[in-house]
Amino acid sequence: MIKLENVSKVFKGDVVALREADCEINKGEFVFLVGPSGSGKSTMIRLLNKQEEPSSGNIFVAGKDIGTLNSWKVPFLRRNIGCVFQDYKLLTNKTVYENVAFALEVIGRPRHVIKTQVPAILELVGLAKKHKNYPDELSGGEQQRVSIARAFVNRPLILLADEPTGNLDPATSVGIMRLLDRINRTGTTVVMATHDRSIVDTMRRRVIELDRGSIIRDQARGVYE
Amino acid sequence: MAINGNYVFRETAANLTRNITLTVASVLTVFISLSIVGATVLVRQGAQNLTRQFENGVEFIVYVEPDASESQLAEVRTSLQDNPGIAEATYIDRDETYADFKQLFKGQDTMLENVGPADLPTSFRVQPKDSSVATVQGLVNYYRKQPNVFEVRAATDVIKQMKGMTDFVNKLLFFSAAFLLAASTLLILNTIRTAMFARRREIEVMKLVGATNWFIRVPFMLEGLVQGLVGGVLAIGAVFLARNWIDELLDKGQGLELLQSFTINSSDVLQACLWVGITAVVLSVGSSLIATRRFLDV
Repeated sequence: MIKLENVSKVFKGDVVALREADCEINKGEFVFLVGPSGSGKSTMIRLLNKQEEPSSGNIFVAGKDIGTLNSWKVPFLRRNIGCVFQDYKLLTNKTVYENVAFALEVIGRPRHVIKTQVPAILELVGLAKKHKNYPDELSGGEQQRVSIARAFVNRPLILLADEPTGNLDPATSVGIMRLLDRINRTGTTVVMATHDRSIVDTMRRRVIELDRGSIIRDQARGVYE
Repeated sequence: MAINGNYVFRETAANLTRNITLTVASVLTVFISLSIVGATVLVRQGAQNLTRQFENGVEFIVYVEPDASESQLAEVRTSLQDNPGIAEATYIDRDETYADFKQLFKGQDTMLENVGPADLPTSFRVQPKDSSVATVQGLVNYYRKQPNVFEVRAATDVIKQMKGMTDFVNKLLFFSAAFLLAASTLLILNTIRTAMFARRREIEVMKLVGATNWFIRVPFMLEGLVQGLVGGVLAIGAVFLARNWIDELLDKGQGLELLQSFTINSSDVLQACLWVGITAVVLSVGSSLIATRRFLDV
């Protein structure tokens, strides 16, 4: 599903964010990217949906070399990749329902699809009763659920999560991880960058550890350290 | 990909109303600059009509020195008749000139009492073969320098003056229009940038969930187009008003015979409106394209 071949990313001023990274992630896998801040986790995630271009190497997503992708095709690549962030990136002037519906609306999905998909996904993330609330009326955990609903409503093949529990307390984080696990069990490949040791240790999934831009460990059913 | 009409309409309306002061500022600037574009076209057309009227049947009058002798008069006559550029030269003698004079100064008794037939110069009414302004002007200049010629009067002088004036006004209008058009382009550009900046979070989310650039762009471009078109429609209204105003002005100035020839007909107005409309569309679409391009770089 995802393949990195000798991928490096160097920012201006010779800051090496990723150094000759090689790895392959199969369909349906759940992968943790771990490592200290600045080790290249976020860069790797941003490379996967073409928010950044690699300095060298090839990246394949769903069998396609995304380095050779025409720029007008990038939106269609992203429709297959859901994104969840530490800061949720919800639109504060829209309700929970509207935030999720927005993701379908702007890719031109017909209204009847939106009307059935959005309530279903809100039911899945456990926010059916709060569909009329605005983001600032929700707790952090609830906001992250809305964000996950928005990322998953279009049933993407891949879900990228950049520290989704970074702003949440441990109990709330467990709920978010249950949700991501459920999404993973529908066949969606999940790649999650995290600092959260206890989550990684309880889930026991594949762990890719990065240090100063290099992959230093790739372990099935791994732990944080 | 089907673009949802409802979505586009809603977003465009929201963009336009969100920053109402900037929207009004750009619409007004577009309106003023396009009105000047319209005025430029009207003045140019009017001036063209003016010269065209005089293109045909232009004659000029060569006045002979009042104290010229018979032989000197004959010289002038021969020179006119032998000139290959002249079709016909008719001599107007003293009596005829005096009759004209009496007609011209009818009612002004002091003038009539003090001037007798002997005080008036006789003249030749000359019909050139080629009646274009340039040729006539050449002949006029030539006869001015001839001996025994008191004065040469031609409409071309006045036409030249009028042309000079309209050319000047036209240049002035053209440069004002150019500067104001530049200002309107920048204002529309800035209004759209502001709208996009206000919605940068939405744009970020749209890009992340895979909205195409055109989908993101269309409401902002329509915003620019609406501003341009509203300004354009107002300017077309102004062009029609200006036409009526010019007509009224010309009616009042009956005495200014030459100005009567400065006419503006409906096709000129239509042409002005067409130019205003084209400029409005090009201006607004162009500035919207530039404004939305940079923001959409991934």
